[in-house]
Amino acid sequence: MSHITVAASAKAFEQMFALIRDDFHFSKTDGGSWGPFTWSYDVAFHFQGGTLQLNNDGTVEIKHLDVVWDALEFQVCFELPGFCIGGFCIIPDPFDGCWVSAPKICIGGPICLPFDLSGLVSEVDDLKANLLAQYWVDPTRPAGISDLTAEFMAKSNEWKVFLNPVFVDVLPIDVPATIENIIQNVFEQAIENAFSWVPGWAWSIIWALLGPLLDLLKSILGIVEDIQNWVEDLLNSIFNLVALIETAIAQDFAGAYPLITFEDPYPILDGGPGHNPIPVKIPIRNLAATIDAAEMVITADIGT
Amino acid sequence: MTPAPHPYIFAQTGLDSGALTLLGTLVHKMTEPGEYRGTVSGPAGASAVFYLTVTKESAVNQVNIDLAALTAPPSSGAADCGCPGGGSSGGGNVFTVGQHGYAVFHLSGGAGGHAVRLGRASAEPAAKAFDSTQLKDGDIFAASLLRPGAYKVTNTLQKGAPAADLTVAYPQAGKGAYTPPSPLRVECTAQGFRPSKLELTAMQGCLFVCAAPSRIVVELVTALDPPAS
Repeated sequence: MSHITVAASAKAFEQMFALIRDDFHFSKTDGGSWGPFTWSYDVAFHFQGGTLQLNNDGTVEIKHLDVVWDALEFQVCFELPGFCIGGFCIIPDPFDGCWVSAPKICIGGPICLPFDLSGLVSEVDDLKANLLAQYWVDPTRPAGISDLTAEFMAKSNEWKVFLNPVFVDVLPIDVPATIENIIQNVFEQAIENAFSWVPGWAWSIIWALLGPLLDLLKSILGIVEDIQNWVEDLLNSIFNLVALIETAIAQDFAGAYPLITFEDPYPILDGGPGHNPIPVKIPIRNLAATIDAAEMVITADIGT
Repeated sequence: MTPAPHPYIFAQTGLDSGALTLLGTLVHKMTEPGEYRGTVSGPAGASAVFYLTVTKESAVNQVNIDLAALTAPPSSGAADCGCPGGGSSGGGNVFTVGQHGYAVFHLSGGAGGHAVRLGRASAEPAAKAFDSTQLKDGDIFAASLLRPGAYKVTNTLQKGAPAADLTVAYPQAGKGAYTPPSPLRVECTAQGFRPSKLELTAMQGCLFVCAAPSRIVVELVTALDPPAS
């Protein structure tokens, strides 16, 4: 039988989870290329809400956890074919086609479309985890020092209890239908910036030559679906943000955000000049954490 | 990252076949085989020489000769004029075209103002086979007009011939991308232009086919404001 048993009710566990949920923040910057375009993103998110349930199979299940994208900024860059002047037929081929044509001057080049969908909310539909107790030694703790010295250096060893995800289901990110308008405006602005040297009178000709901008973008990037689906594919499959969330949950919940921490040796009486000059601490061994529908239970032995 | 600017393309609203700019192209048919030597004179004294071989054996029916690239300084040409080649037309100053093929003179960048002359290479001073300041015998001046408005077209070598009126309209907004109509063909004779009233849409080509000695000058008279969107 264990020397120490600590229990937290379901309600208390919920509060403990809320603390790590609110503390959790993730950010990443990445880039790559996909077919005719290159991309880069700068994203950051935190979690919000969710309903929590403790199960008798030793797991805790969190459903409908909101992923709030504090930053969801990305950029897509590609070669804009632009428009060509000349190229018309000067002398037609009497049989077919053109015998002599005017040389073309084509005006195009690299262009980048910056998007900012920060504030978007997606969802972790289901997260199932058991509890994992880990013994942690501060990697910066000097070798061979006593626990008392480590205490004075604030480098004590610790037992940590983590949520250890065993199943994560992240829903794909949905973008609003208004994304078409956003892209249209961003593309238009990018073209105006790229050709800022073009005089005002020429713009109606350039817009006419380029044609409907969303059609042009689809043609350049080889988009066969509608724009909304394409952006969702971009975020979910090409940027792989769904996997990013899954990995962040799996790695950080199980390694960076402990539900509870116990210092080892555990202080049971502070040091003070009036009674004892140094703190009284007991070593904790064999710490384990389990859960059932009613509570979380942590057991441990007092070691030597 | 933005596309490289092309400052002259919209700034030059007039054209002159004898002082070629970005929006003009000259076409000359090479009927006799042989070795030809061409001279190009550009603005500010820039000049260049090129050689053109016309041969029965070649099946090439069109050779494009970029006058801007030929006259660009070799070291900094591309950066200065915005020409793709910089100093040569893709691979130097030697060109080949088949007999009955066409030499097509154009500019890929820069302010322009170039003239070109072509004669037999073997007998200098050669009789001019072609002179861009005096087009004739079916030479073609192909003009692209971008700026909508009203223009006056004159043939400065036919003093008595009347000028032509040319209008360039803005393209109508359509469901798809605008494709300029096929180029308009205009005969340049000693009596004037046929037709004499020319109606184009922006970026539509206009082909002046020179039956009489010609130097075609197109001048903007009144610019047209863009339609309200």
